[in-house]
Amino acid sequence: MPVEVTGALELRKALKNYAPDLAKESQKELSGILKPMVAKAKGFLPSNDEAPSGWLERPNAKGRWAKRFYDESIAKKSITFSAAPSKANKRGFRSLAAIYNKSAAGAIYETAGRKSGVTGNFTPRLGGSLEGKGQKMTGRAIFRAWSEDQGRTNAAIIKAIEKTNEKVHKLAQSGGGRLYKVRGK
Amino acid sequence: MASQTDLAVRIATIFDAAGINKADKSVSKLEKNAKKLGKTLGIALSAAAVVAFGKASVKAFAADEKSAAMLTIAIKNLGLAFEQANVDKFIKDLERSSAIADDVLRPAFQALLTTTGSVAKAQQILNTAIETSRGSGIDLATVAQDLSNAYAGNTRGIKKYNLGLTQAELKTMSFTEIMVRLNKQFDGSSAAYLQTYAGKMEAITTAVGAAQEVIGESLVNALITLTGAANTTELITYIENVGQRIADLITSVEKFGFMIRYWFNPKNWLKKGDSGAKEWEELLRKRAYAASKAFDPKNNSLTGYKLDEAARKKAEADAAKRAKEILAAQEKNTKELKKQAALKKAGTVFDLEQIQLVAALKGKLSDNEKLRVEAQLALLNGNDAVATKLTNQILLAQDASGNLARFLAALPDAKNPFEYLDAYLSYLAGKAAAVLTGSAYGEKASYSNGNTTVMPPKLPDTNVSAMPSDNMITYNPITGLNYNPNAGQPVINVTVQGNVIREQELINQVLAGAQLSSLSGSPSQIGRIAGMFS
Repeated sequence: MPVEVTGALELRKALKNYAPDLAKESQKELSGILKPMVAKAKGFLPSNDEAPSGWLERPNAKGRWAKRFYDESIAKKSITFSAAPSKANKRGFRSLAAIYNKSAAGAIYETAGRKSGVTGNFTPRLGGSLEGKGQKMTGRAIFRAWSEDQGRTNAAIIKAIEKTNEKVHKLAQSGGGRLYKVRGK
Repeated sequence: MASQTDLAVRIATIFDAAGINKADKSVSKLEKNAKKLGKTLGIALSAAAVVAFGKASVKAFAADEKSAAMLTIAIKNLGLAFEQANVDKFIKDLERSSAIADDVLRPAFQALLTTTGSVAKAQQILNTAIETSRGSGIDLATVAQDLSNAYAGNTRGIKKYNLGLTQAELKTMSFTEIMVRLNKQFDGSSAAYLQTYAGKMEAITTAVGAAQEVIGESLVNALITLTGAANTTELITYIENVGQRIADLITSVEKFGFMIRYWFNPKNWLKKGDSGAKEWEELLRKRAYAASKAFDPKNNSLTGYKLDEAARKKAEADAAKRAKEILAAQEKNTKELKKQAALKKAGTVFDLEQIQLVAALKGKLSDNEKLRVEAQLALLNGNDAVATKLTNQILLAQDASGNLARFLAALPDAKNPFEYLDAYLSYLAGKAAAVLTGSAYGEKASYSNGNTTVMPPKLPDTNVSAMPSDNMITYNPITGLNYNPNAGQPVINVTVQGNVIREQELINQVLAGAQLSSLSGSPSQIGRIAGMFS
């Protein structure tokens, strides 16, 4: 039964239903590609000594900034990746993988000065450099690492998906795999 | 966080139109609904809607008037015409308080009134019926009918209200007790229902309905006034006349249009003055001819619709024939059912054994086996002649000479196997008597003193052989009959050399003989298990 795979989402579904082992392997491969990027992004985060002293944790702090303090370990730990497809945005686009910072302080460090520039009392003290193309694709850690990567990770991920696609086709032609809910002819 | 596009590097993005399509669909649907709503609103405000509302109002008024008229007649027939105003007020108030339309209340009240014959009683029961209807969810008409029946002593319908009473208990309860029970269970249900959203909506609907009826009444009255008709019948006649006049007017307009078109046509300018009227007549004639195409010269009012009559007769004849056929089929069916019932009854005779026999006959059997099975089947069916015939055939097959069959045929009837016991006991008694008296049994004995006595009767003839004189049974006048099983045993005398008086001496002699034989080269052998000694 020839298997028709149209699009990455369909590929992912087919993998899940048809070759679960291959799906796991594919996820591992994607993780292997994304992990160096995450490590690189973590490297761009400042240490607690380098961060503005007033932004560090203050035991008696109150208000909305009480929980937005910078802590190097938290910020580094919070940089992570996802190899699962995201929800569609308002324009209908979905990403197959993403790298992001879960912590508020990490996001602030990443994006401060994107819109209004590196001005004022706080943003210039953050250090680092905003790198990337366009307003929405610039940042100090993740976006910087992405920018310096020059699209190699992106290409590797797409290549990995293509490779998986080929594997699925071969598997289907050889009659292997566990057939559950594959769209077939 | 990952969902925030600006804060995450999104890799290998793809376009997924599913969400967009869904959103588009939703928007389209919303748009359609909005248009529909707009149309609805537009229609609601248009003149057409006003006319439609007017029609609905008149209809509602007609229905209301119908139910009111029926109730009025019922009240009048009961001789309670003087209560009419009271009843109308009660229904109106109840409609307002219970949010139940008067169209529904009137038939319910009528049912109760005709049963009870009392307006006050009917009003009281109707109140309970409303509470019960609201509490149980069963429509008011049904509840009113059930209560009417219960009033008349038929409490079967009350069970559905789940009063926790058995049918037997309900039968024994009086109507007053049932009412108490219903009031206890459902009191306040109507008020509680009217507090709910559904209840409020129903109250509004009822109020709108009542308003519609009032408007309808006003419209009808307005039309009557407008036309100058005395009543509704005259109004209808007037409307019909108006319709005819409007039709005539339209025809006149049509004729006017035809004439204009005719005289504006240059071809007709040279024609005579009345040619237009002739053309118009011709048009009407053509139209009449077109309409009369359906006219059948052989079958019309002039001919008395003979064809129709013939067709009707044929249809009736067909129907009669069909009815006859159905009847015949039913009779046939009844006969068949009777036959089947008889067969079923007879079939009880044919038990499984028969079925097995038939099945066996269908199988591969030898001639002899087939004969046996057929004979068994004939016996089961009670067919003696066939069974005898088949049995003889079997016997002949077993013994070609036919002796076996003849022997079996000549066999006497089976005897009672214990018949000889009677003879035996008689024999014993006779023997005992003979021993005692020295006379034969049944004979007349004479004694020396001249007395005679009759002996017991002789033994009856029997095929049982006479008891051997084995002396096993003896008679003693003192001890009676004695039985000695060894009496008939033969006495064997063993002569041993020497003097043997006791048993031990005999044993010793045997041992000595055995030892002597052993010494002579012929040893004794004892087989304990086989019980052998040699």
